[in-house]
Amino acid sequence: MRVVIEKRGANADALENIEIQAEQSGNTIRVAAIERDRRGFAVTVSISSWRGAKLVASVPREANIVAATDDGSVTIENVQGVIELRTNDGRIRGFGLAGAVTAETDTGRSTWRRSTVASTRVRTMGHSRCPAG
Amino acid sequence: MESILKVLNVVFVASLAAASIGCVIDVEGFEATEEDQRVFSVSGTPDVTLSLTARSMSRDGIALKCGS
Repeated sequence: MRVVIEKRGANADALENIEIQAEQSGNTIRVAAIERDRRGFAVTVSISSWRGAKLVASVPREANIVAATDDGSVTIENVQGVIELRTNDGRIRGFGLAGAVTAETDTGRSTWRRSTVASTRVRTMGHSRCPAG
Repeated sequence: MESILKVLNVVFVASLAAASIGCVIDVEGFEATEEDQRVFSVSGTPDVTLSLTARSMSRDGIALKCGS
């Protein structure tokens, strides 16, 4: 299983403030990108303090997933298992899923395609689409 | 012929101006990026937790796909 973490910032200092934590215990894997100093960023939103991160994970077809992000989108493709997806302010997209899926987004949209799931629970203040096919 | 060159010149200058405006407002141009890769060995069905609390102001977030 491979996880690629891309850190983005306005400068090298901004990148320094994004910390990556990755640990494995048996078949349980946890990868987190956290901000070291959220106070400064919360007060000053400008180009000089801009920073963000992106996680891209290649997982086995059968996997139990929890994916949560504060402010970005969540996209998941061709995975079967117990899947839990959360974002405060982003879009959630699922393609070719199977199993039990829970998805929550406060203000984003959710889109689902080609998914055969035993149970779903979707909560969004935005728009939710399940197009045919 | 001269008028054609003038027209081409105007188009060229206009294109340059548009490109310049794009560079000025394109925040992406100021970004620094750093990429890290982690590889895990699993047998059977893994339990995977991915979390991103670095505040992302872009469209990026978390992407999962069936791979290895």
